[in-house]
Amino acid sequence: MPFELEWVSLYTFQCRRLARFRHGRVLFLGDAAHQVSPFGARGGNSGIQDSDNLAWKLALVIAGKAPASLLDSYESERGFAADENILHSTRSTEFISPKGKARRRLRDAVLSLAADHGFARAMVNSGRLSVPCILPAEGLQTPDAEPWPGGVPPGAALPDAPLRAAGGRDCWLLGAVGGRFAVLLFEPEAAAEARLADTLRHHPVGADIVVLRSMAPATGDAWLHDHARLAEQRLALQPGCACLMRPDQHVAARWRAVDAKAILAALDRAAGRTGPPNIEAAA
Amino acid sequence: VNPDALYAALVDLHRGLDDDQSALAEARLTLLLAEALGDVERVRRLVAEARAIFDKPREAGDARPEEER
Repeated sequence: MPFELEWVSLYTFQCRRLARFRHGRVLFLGDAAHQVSPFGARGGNSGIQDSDNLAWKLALVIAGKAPASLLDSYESERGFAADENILHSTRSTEFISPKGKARRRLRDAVLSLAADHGFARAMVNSGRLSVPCILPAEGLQTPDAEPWPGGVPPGAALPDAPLRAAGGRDCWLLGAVGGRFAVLLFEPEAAAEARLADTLRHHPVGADIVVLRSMAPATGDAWLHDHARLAEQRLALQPGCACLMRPDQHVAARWRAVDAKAILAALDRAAGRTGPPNIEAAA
Repeated sequence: VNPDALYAALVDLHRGLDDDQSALAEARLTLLLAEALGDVERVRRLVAEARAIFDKPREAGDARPEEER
Protein backbone atom coordinates (compact mmCIF):
# COMPACT_ATOMS: atom_id res chain seq x y z
CA MET A 1 0.00 0.00 0.00
CA PRO A 2 1.55 3.37 -0.97
CA PHE A 3 1.86 5.86 1.87
CA GLU A 4 3.39 9.24 2.57
CA LEU A 5 5.43 10.01 5.69
CA GLU A 6 4.02 13.05 7.51
CA TRP A 7 6.41 13.15 10.42
CA VAL A 8 9.50 11.21 11.35
CA SER A 9 11.31 11.27 14.65
CA LEU A 10 13.88 9.24 16.52
CA TYR A 11 13.75 8.17 20.11
CA THR A 12 15.83 5.81 22.15
CA PHE A 13 14.95 3.51 25.02
CA GLN A 14 16.59 0.90 27.17
CA CYS A 15 15.62 -2.62 28.18
CA ARG A 16 17.31 -3.12 31.54
CA ARG A 17 16.70 -3.78 35.23
CA LEU A 18 18.37 -3.48 38.59
CA ALA A 19 19.90 -6.75 39.77
CA ARG A 20 18.20 -6.25 43.17
CA PHE A 21 14.90 -4.45 43.81
CA ARG A 22 15.37 -4.54 47.58
CA HIS A 23 18.36 -3.01 49.29
CA GLY A 24 17.54 -3.42 52.96
CA ARG A 25 14.93 -0.78 53.76
CA VAL A 26 15.08 0.75 50.28
CA LEU A 27 12.73 -0.73 47.68
CA PHE A 28 12.77 0.04 43.99
CA LEU A 29 9.72 -0.23 41.75
CA GLY A 30 8.42 0.90 38.38
CA ASP A 31 10.87 2.69 36.10
CA ALA A 32 13.33 3.01 38.98
CA ALA A 33 13.66 -0.79 39.03
CA HIS A 34 13.28 -1.72 35.36
CA GLN A 35 12.91 -0.09 31.97
CA VAL A 36 11.41 -1.52 28.81
CA SER A 37 10.57 -0.38 25.30
CA PRO A 38 7.19 1.31 24.86
CA PHE A 39 5.76 -1.65 22.88
CA GLY A 40 2.97 -3.51 24.67
CA ALA A 41 2.14 -1.11 27.51
CA ARG A 42 4.59 -2.86 29.85
CA GLY A 43 6.11 0.15 31.59
CA GLY A 44 3.06 1.65 33.28
CA ASN A 45 1.36 -1.71 33.82
CA SER A 46 4.37 -3.27 35.48
CA GLY A 47 4.81 -0.22 37.74
CA ILE A 48 1.25 -0.62 39.00
CA GLN A 49 1.71 -4.38 39.35
CA ASP A 50 4.90 -3.76 41.34
CA SER A 51 3.01 -1.55 43.79
CA ASP A 52 0.12 -4.07 43.98
CA ASN A 53 2.68 -6.71 44.88
CA LEU A 54 4.57 -4.59 47.40
CA ALA A 55 1.84 -2.64 49.22
CA TRP A 56 0.22 -5.50 51.15
CA LYS A 57 3.57 -7.01 52.04
CA LEU A 58 4.82 -3.71 53.38
CA ALA A 59 1.58 -3.28 55.35
CA LEU A 60 1.94 -6.72 56.97
CA VAL A 61 5.60 -6.13 57.85
CA ILE A 62 4.93 -2.66 59.29
CA ALA A 63 2.05 -4.09 61.36
CA GLY A 64 4.41 -6.74 62.72
CA LYS A 65 2.29 -9.55 61.26
CA ALA A 66 4.94 -10.83 58.87
CA PRO A 67 8.75 -10.90 59.00
CA ALA A 68 10.76 -8.39 56.94
CA SER A 69 11.91 -11.32 54.79
CA LEU A 70 8.46 -11.19 53.13
CA LEU A 71 9.83 -8.16 51.27
CA ASP A 72 12.37 -10.41 49.55
CA SER A 73 9.45 -12.09 47.79
CA TYR A 74 8.62 -8.69 46.26
CA GLU A 75 12.02 -8.75 44.62
CA SER A 76 11.83 -12.36 43.43
CA GLU A 77 8.24 -12.13 42.16
CA ARG A 78 8.56 -8.78 40.44
CA GLY A 79 12.07 -9.54 39.21
CA PHE A 80 10.55 -12.59 37.51
CA ALA A 81 7.90 -10.33 35.97
CA ALA A 82 10.51 -7.77 34.89
CA ASP A 83 12.52 -10.48 33.13
CA GLU A 84 9.36 -11.60 31.31
CA ASN A 85 8.60 -8.00 30.29
CA ILE A 86 12.15 -7.41 29.11
CA LEU A 87 12.07 -10.63 27.06
CA HIS A 88 8.82 -9.64 25.30
CA SER A 89 9.99 -6.09 24.89
CA THR A 90 13.34 -7.11 23.43
CA ARG A 91 11.61 -9.42 20.95
CA SER A 92 9.22 -6.69 19.82
CA THR A 93 12.12 -4.29 19.42
CA GLU A 94 13.99 -6.84 17.32
CA PHE A 95 10.97 -7.22 15.03
CA ILE A 96 10.20 -3.50 14.72
CA SER A 97 13.77 -2.33 14.20
CA PRO A 98 15.92 -5.27 13.04
CA LYS A 99 19.65 -4.77 13.36
CA GLY A 100 21.43 -5.37 10.04
CA LYS A 101 20.40 -6.34 6.53
CA ALA A 102 19.89 -10.08 7.11
CA ARG A 103 17.67 -9.58 10.15
CA ARG A 104 15.64 -6.95 8.32
CA ARG A 105 15.22 -9.39 5.42
CA LEU A 106 13.93 -12.09 7.77
CA ARG A 107 11.45 -9.59 9.23
CA ASP A 108 10.37 -8.51 5.72
CA ALA A 109 9.96 -12.17 4.73
CA VAL A 110 7.54 -12.61 7.66
CA LEU A 111 5.58 -9.55 6.53
CA SER A 112 5.46 -10.76 2.92
CA LEU A 113 4.18 -14.19 3.99
CA ALA A 114 1.68 -12.80 6.49
CA ALA A 115 -1.12 -12.16 3.99
CA ASP A 116 -1.39 -15.83 3.00
CA HIS A 117 0.02 -17.73 5.98
CA GLY A 118 -1.45 -17.70 9.47
CA PHE A 119 1.81 -18.82 11.10
CA ALA A 120 3.62 -15.79 9.67
CA ARG A 121 0.78 -13.47 10.66
CA ALA A 122 1.17 -14.73 14.23
CA MET A 123 4.89 -13.83 14.13
CA VAL A 124 4.20 -10.17 13.31
CA ASN A 125 5.27 -8.54 16.55
CA SER A 126 4.47 -4.87 16.88
CA GLY A 127 4.28 -5.28 20.66
CA ARG A 128 2.56 -8.06 22.60
CA LEU A 129 0.03 -6.47 24.89
CA SER A 130 1.00 -6.72 28.54
CA VAL A 131 -0.91 -9.32 30.57
CA PRO A 132 -0.36 -10.04 34.28
CA CYS A 133 2.46 -12.51 34.71
CA ILE A 134 1.87 -15.92 36.25
CA LEU A 135 4.04 -15.99 39.36
CA PRO A 136 5.89 -19.26 39.99
CA ALA A 137 3.65 -21.78 41.78
CA GLU A 138 6.17 -21.97 44.61
CA GLY A 139 7.58 -19.42 47.05
CA LEU A 140 4.52 -17.76 48.60
CA GLN A 141 2.20 -19.98 46.56
CA THR A 142 1.15 -23.49 47.57
CA PRO A 143 1.18 -25.82 44.55
CA ASP A 144 -1.94 -27.89 43.81
CA ALA A 145 -2.04 -31.06 45.90
CA GLU A 146 -4.46 -32.70 43.48
CA PRO A 147 -4.76 -32.39 39.70
CA TRP A 148 -6.95 -29.43 38.72
CA PRO A 149 -7.40 -29.26 34.96
CA GLY A 150 -8.08 -25.75 33.65
CA GLY A 151 -8.99 -22.79 35.77
CA VAL A 152 -6.52 -20.42 37.35
CA PRO A 153 -3.39 -22.03 38.85
CA PRO A 154 -1.63 -20.74 41.99
CA GLY A 155 0.44 -17.70 41.02
CA ALA A 156 -1.95 -16.49 38.30
CA ALA A 157 -4.08 -13.36 38.53
CA LEU A 158 -7.80 -13.89 39.12
CA PRO A 159 -9.98 -13.25 36.05
CA ASP A 160 -13.14 -11.23 36.57
CA ALA A 161 -16.72 -12.50 36.40
CA PRO A 162 -20.12 -10.81 36.80
CA LEU A 163 -21.90 -11.69 40.05
CA ARG A 164 -25.06 -10.66 41.86
CA ALA A 165 -25.18 -9.92 45.56
CA ALA A 166 -28.08 -10.92 47.78
CA GLY A 167 -30.77 -8.31 47.21
CA GLY A 168 -30.13 -8.30 43.45
CA ARG A 169 -27.26 -5.80 43.22
CA ASP A 170 -24.90 -6.57 40.29
CA CYS A 171 -21.22 -6.70 41.19
CA TRP A 172 -17.94 -8.22 40.04
CA LEU A 173 -15.69 -10.93 41.36
CA LEU A 174 -12.65 -8.63 41.38
CA GLY A 175 -14.65 -6.15 43.45
CA ALA A 176 -15.34 -8.87 46.03
CA VAL A 177 -11.72 -9.86 46.69
CA GLY A 178 -8.55 -7.84 47.03
CA GLY A 179 -6.86 -5.57 49.54
CA ARG A 180 -6.96 -8.39 52.11
CA PHE A 181 -6.48 -12.13 51.92
CA ALA A 182 -9.69 -13.90 50.97
CA VAL A 183 -10.84 -17.49 50.81
CA LEU A 184 -13.19 -18.02 47.90
CA LEU A 185 -15.63 -20.87 48.61
CA PHE A 186 -17.85 -22.37 45.92
CA GLU A 187 -21.07 -24.05 47.09
CA PRO A 188 -19.60 -24.77 50.54
CA GLU A 189 -21.25 -26.99 53.13
CA ALA A 190 -22.51 -24.81 55.96
CA ALA A 191 -20.54 -26.70 58.64
CA ALA A 192 -17.21 -26.46 56.76
CA GLU A 193 -17.76 -22.75 56.15
CA ALA A 194 -18.52 -22.12 59.82
CA ARG A 195 -15.44 -24.08 60.99
CA LEU A 196 -13.21 -22.15 58.58
CA ALA A 197 -14.64 -18.79 59.68
CA ASP A 198 -13.98 -19.74 63.29
CA THR A 199 -10.37 -20.74 62.55
CA LEU A 200 -9.62 -17.61 60.53
CA ARG A 201 -10.98 -15.35 63.25
CA HIS A 202 -8.03 -16.24 65.49
CA HIS A 203 -5.35 -15.83 62.82
CA PRO A 204 -3.24 -12.63 63.10
CA VAL A 205 -3.34 -11.99 59.34
CA GLY A 206 -6.86 -13.28 58.77
CA ALA A 207 -8.80 -13.62 55.56
CA ASP A 208 -12.25 -12.68 54.32
CA ILE A 209 -14.55 -15.49 53.29
CA VAL A 210 -16.30 -14.95 49.96
CA VAL A 211 -18.99 -17.49 49.13
CA LEU A 212 -20.06 -18.09 45.54
CA ARG A 213 -23.20 -20.00 44.63
CA SER A 214 -24.47 -20.97 41.21
CA MET A 215 -28.05 -21.19 42.55
CA ALA A 216 -29.28 -18.38 44.77
CA PRO A 217 -30.43 -19.89 48.08
CA ALA A 218 -33.67 -18.70 49.63
CA THR A 219 -32.08 -17.55 52.87
CA GLY A 220 -29.04 -15.70 54.14
CA ASP A 221 -27.17 -12.87 52.44
CA ALA A 222 -23.48 -13.74 52.87
CA TRP A 223 -23.00 -15.09 49.36
CA LEU A 224 -22.62 -13.94 45.78
CA HIS A 225 -24.66 -15.43 42.97
CA ASP A 226 -22.58 -16.63 40.01
CA HIS A 227 -25.68 -16.22 37.83
CA ALA A 228 -23.86 -16.43 34.47
CA ARG A 229 -21.73 -19.31 35.82
CA LEU A 230 -18.67 -17.52 34.48
CA ALA A 231 -16.71 -17.60 37.76
CA GLU A 232 -17.37 -21.34 37.91
CA GLN A 233 -16.22 -21.74 34.31
CA ARG A 234 -13.18 -19.44 34.40
CA LEU A 235 -11.81 -20.85 37.67
CA ALA A 236 -12.92 -24.44 36.87
CA LEU A 237 -14.72 -24.57 40.24
CA GLN A 238 -16.43 -27.64 41.64
CA PRO A 239 -18.88 -27.63 44.55
CA GLY A 240 -17.06 -27.61 47.89
CA CYS A 241 -13.75 -26.25 46.58
CA ALA A 242 -11.75 -23.35 48.04
CA CYS A 243 -9.26 -20.80 46.63
CA LEU A 244 -6.97 -18.64 48.76
CA MET A 245 -6.59 -15.20 47.18
CA ARG A 246 -3.70 -12.87 47.93
CA PRO A 247 -4.49 -9.20 48.61
CA ASP A 248 -3.13 -8.42 45.10
CA GLN A 249 -5.75 -10.74 43.56
CA HIS A 250 -3.29 -13.47 42.58
CA VAL A 251 -4.29 -17.03 43.50
CA ALA A 252 -2.14 -18.35 46.38
CA ALA A 253 -3.58 -21.87 46.60
CA ARG A 254 -6.68 -23.92 45.80
CA TRP A 255 -8.26 -27.08 47.15
CA ARG A 256 -10.93 -29.52 46.06
CA ALA A 257 -12.40 -29.43 49.58
CA VAL A 258 -12.35 -27.00 52.51
CA ASP A 259 -9.51 -28.09 54.78
CA ALA A 260 -9.06 -25.41 57.45
CA LYS A 261 -5.63 -26.65 58.47
CA ALA A 262 -4.30 -26.62 54.91
CA ILE A 263 -5.82 -23.17 54.33
CA LEU A 264 -4.11 -21.77 57.44
CA ALA A 265 -0.79 -23.28 56.37
CA ALA A 266 -1.14 -21.72 52.90
CA LEU A 267 -2.12 -18.38 54.47
CA ASP A 268 0.99 -18.44 56.69
CA ARG A 269 3.12 -19.32 53.70
CA ALA A 270 1.57 -16.62 51.46
CA ALA A 271 2.16 -14.04 54.21
CA GLY A 272 5.80 -15.09 54.48
CA ARG A 273 5.28 -16.34 58.04
CA THR A 274 6.60 -19.79 57.12
CA GLY A 275 8.66 -21.06 54.22
CA PRO A 276 7.55 -23.82 51.89
CA PRO A 277 7.20 -27.10 53.89
CA ASN A 278 10.41 -28.68 52.49
CA ILE A 279 12.53 -25.66 53.48
CA GLU A 280 11.10 -25.78 56.99
CA ALA A 281 11.95 -29.45 57.29
CA ALA A 282 15.51 -28.83 56.12
CA ALA A 283 16.08 -25.93 58.56
CA VAL B 1 15.59 -38.71 -1.27
CA ASN B 2 17.26 -38.16 -4.62
CA PRO B 3 20.15 -35.80 -3.74
CA ASP B 4 20.42 -34.27 -7.22
CA ALA B 5 16.68 -33.60 -7.38
CA LEU B 6 16.73 -32.05 -3.90
CA TYR B 7 19.62 -29.76 -4.82
CA ALA B 8 17.94 -28.81 -8.11
CA ALA B 9 14.73 -28.01 -6.27
CA LEU B 10 16.63 -25.55 -4.02
CA VAL B 11 18.52 -24.03 -6.96
CA ASP B 12 15.17 -23.42 -8.60
CA LEU B 13 14.36 -20.94 -5.83
CA HIS B 14 16.81 -18.52 -7.45
CA ARG B 15 15.69 -18.88 -11.07
CA GLY B 16 15.44 -15.44 -12.72
CA LEU B 17 15.96 -13.53 -9.44
CA ASP B 18 18.60 -10.89 -8.74
CA ASP B 19 20.66 -11.12 -5.53
CA ASP B 20 18.30 -9.06 -3.39
CA GLN B 21 15.25 -10.97 -4.59
CA SER B 22 17.06 -14.28 -4.02
CA ALA B 23 17.93 -13.30 -0.47
CA LEU B 24 14.32 -12.41 0.32
CA ALA B 25 13.09 -15.64 -1.30
CA GLU B 26 15.60 -17.53 0.86
CA ALA B 27 14.30 -15.88 3.99
CA ARG B 28 10.73 -16.79 2.98
CA LEU B 29 11.81 -20.36 2.33
CA THR B 30 13.54 -20.54 5.72
CA LEU B 31 10.31 -19.52 7.43
CA LEU B 32 8.20 -21.96 5.41
CA LEU B 33 10.60 -24.84 6.11
CA ALA B 34 10.75 -23.98 9.82
CA GLU B 35 6.96 -23.92 10.01
CA ALA B 36 6.78 -27.24 8.13
CA LEU B 37 9.13 -28.76 10.74
CA GLY B 38 6.79 -27.53 13.44
CA ASP B 39 9.29 -28.00 16.29
CA VAL B 40 11.18 -25.06 17.83
CA GLU B 41 13.77 -27.35 19.45
CA ARG B 42 14.64 -28.96 16.12
CA VAL B 43 14.86 -25.54 14.50
CA ARG B 44 17.23 -24.41 17.30
CA ARG B 45 19.47 -27.43 16.70
CA LEU B 46 19.52 -26.80 12.93
CA VAL B 47 20.26 -23.10 13.48
CA ALA B 48 23.22 -24.10 15.66
CA GLU B 49 24.38 -26.55 12.97
CA ALA B 50 24.05 -23.95 10.22
CA ARG B 51 26.20 -21.39 12.03
CA ALA B 52 28.61 -23.91 13.53
CA ILE B 53 31.37 -23.01 11.04
CA PHE B 54 31.35 -19.44 12.43
CA ASP B 55 31.02 -20.29 16.12
CA LYS B 56 33.97 -21.03 18.34
CA PRO B 57 33.80 -24.62 19.61
CA ARG B 58 32.28 -24.71 23.09
CA GLU B 59 34.04 -26.23 26.01
CA ALA B 60 32.34 -29.37 27.19
CA GLY B 61 29.50 -28.55 29.55
CA ASP B 62 29.41 -24.84 28.69
CA ALA B 63 25.79 -24.20 27.83
CA ARG B 64 25.99 -20.40 27.96
CA PRO B 65 25.04 -18.51 24.82
CA GLU B 66 27.89 -17.18 22.68
CA GLU B 67 27.78 -13.58 23.85
CA GLU B 68 28.26 -14.55 27.52
CA ARG B 69 31.45 -16.53 27.00
